[in-house]
Amino acid sequence: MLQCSRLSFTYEDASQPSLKEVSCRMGQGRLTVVTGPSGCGKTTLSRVINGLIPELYEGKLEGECLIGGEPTTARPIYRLSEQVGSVFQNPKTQFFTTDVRSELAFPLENTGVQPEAIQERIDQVADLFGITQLLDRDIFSLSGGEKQMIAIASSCMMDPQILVLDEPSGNLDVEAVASLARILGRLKDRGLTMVLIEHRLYYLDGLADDFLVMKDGRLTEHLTPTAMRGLDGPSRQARGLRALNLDANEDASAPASVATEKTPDLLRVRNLTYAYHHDQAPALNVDDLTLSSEDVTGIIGRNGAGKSTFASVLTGLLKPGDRSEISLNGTKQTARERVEDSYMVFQDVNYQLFSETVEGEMLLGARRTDLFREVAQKLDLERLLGRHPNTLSGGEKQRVAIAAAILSGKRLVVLDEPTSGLDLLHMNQVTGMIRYMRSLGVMVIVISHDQEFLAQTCQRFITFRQGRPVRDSRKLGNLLQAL
Amino acid sequence: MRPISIYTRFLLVIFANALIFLTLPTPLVLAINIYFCSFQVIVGRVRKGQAWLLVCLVFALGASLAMVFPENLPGHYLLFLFVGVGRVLPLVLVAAFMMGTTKVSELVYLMRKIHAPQWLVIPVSVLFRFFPTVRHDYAQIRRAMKFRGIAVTTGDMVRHPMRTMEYIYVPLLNNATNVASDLTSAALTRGIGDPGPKTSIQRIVFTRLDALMCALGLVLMGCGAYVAMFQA
Repeated sequence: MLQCSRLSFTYEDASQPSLKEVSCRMGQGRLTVVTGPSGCGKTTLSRVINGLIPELYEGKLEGECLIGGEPTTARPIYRLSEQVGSVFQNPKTQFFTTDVRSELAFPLENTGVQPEAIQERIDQVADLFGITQLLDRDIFSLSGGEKQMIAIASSCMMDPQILVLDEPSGNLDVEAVASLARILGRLKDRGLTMVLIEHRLYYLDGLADDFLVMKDGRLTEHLTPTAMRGLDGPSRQARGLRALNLDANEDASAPASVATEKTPDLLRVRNLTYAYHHDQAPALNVDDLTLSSEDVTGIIGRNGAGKSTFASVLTGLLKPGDRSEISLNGTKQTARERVEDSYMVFQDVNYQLFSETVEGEMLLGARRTDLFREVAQKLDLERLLGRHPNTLSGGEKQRVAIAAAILSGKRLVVLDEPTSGLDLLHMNQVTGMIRYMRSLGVMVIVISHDQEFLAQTCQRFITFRQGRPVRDSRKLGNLLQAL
Repeated sequence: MRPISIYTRFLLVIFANALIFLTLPTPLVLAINIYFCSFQVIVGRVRKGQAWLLVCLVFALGASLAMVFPENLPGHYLLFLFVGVGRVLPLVLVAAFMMGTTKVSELVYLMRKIHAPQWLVIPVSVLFRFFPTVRHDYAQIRRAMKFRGIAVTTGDMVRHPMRTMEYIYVPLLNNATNVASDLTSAALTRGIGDPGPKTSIQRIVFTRLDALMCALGLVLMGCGAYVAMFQA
């Protein structure tokens, strides 16, 4: 079906090739996972397959990629797209219209299909994806998982033979990943050939037929699912891969405690309530809960369980109900005082980078400037200090955002989904940074759906359900069941 | 709640733009503004309609008191506010209505119908898609600023407008750049470059209510033109 032979590509401004003589075959109806650390060239490979190279990204392309015997470069991209559908990482930025129905119609309207035929195809695809009830919804009102479902549905509208998905789970929560896996299974049953670029591998066990491992632009290994499952911790780590089986890393738990000279900060909340509208039931309801800077606390729960609301109230962004009380080491605090004592690192750190240089960014609003050298060194930012933050890679931007959080000298740092779309190396780096914050006596709270990451980072796990903490434990267990 | 046809909307935009060039008596301006507000109510946004109506009334009151404003700085300021800003009020009303309630697919349909070139159709449709994104981005950026101790309250924002603007627009633009490049990839792989004829599943309705509102609009437009000519 799809065959690459000695494929090499160098981006226009790059000194190093991103793909080096990659040769592989992907059989009809098979699901092939291409994995490897960030920057290994897997996204570049996907761009050659769907024709974005050379259409959008210019550079030097050698070798060829054949689909059904014909090179991808032989046709204009709008013809190639009839055969190769594409799905990208961020569900927010891959739709054009504002309502689901016209979004699905979009590819077919572009290629001049008759309206009646489009309607018919919409009904078929909606049925296959189980999204009929979403057809007349506003896309902006959908959850991230639903948006990603629409994106996949829209790329299937032209009835392609090959589907290329570039980190489709990157921005999704556990449940959305589960439904993503279901839909991939259904597409596979229908004989679709799929190429999946991924870091998170756990949801692909039982779905994937082949695993291609890349490193530094080269295809280094071709593993069967059995061989992949058989990899032990160290050999997986050596390849920079995340776990295929989540239970395997239960034992890799975080150390129970770290010795700090400082007496720990205690943040206590009582009768905490918050309602988004006066006439609605509160979205948050916490009777009595004390958090300590000795623990890194993981907040888990389904979408809409109140995790973000809890974090927003703790950091003073939202003002809680009248009887609510938040106190730090016994002193009551107002929302304004909470903002002064807190910091939040967003899932999308692009919103919190304001400066022209990394150094300026780290020092903007900083109170612990004495730590500047140490933090720059610990977070591996020394060689980036003069760069513009927007020219950095995703992982580097995140390190800058965390550096700014540490230097702000605030006593509480909340990290919202810090590992979405990160490979093993970067995930471990985030764990290391959190450990460092904890050793400085900073209280760290992590909101995450990432089981692998939570298990190795947190000492305490609080599960939220319908705005209430329902489980408070030192053990994580299986995340999907725990919710 | 009833839909308003894209053709009617098109007429509204032309009407509001034409008004900029005319100096009309306050009661007529008020009548025209009320006409614009009524569209919000028709499509079911009653609260929004009421709020805009209130704004129109305040401006009408201000404009009719123009003669009694004192001959000093605050007086000139008031005059500028009610007469100068009041002049663009119809445009603001129509923009608020269009951006909040127009389906991008209808807009694209209309533009293709009037044979607008592809290089215009695509940017305009993407622009409409951007507005809700910008609103969300703005909220996120304001939160990030609070944690950095920049313009924590609205008061701080008003006191240092230039500084605040910079902190808002840098991340806003950075994000827009990223979104734009993602959207380009998605568009290209969804056949946007196909030079062949396009189709649309959009059905354009033009109801009796549309006809009525258009007629009303034309009457008001006629009155405006007549009064403007008569004055000249």
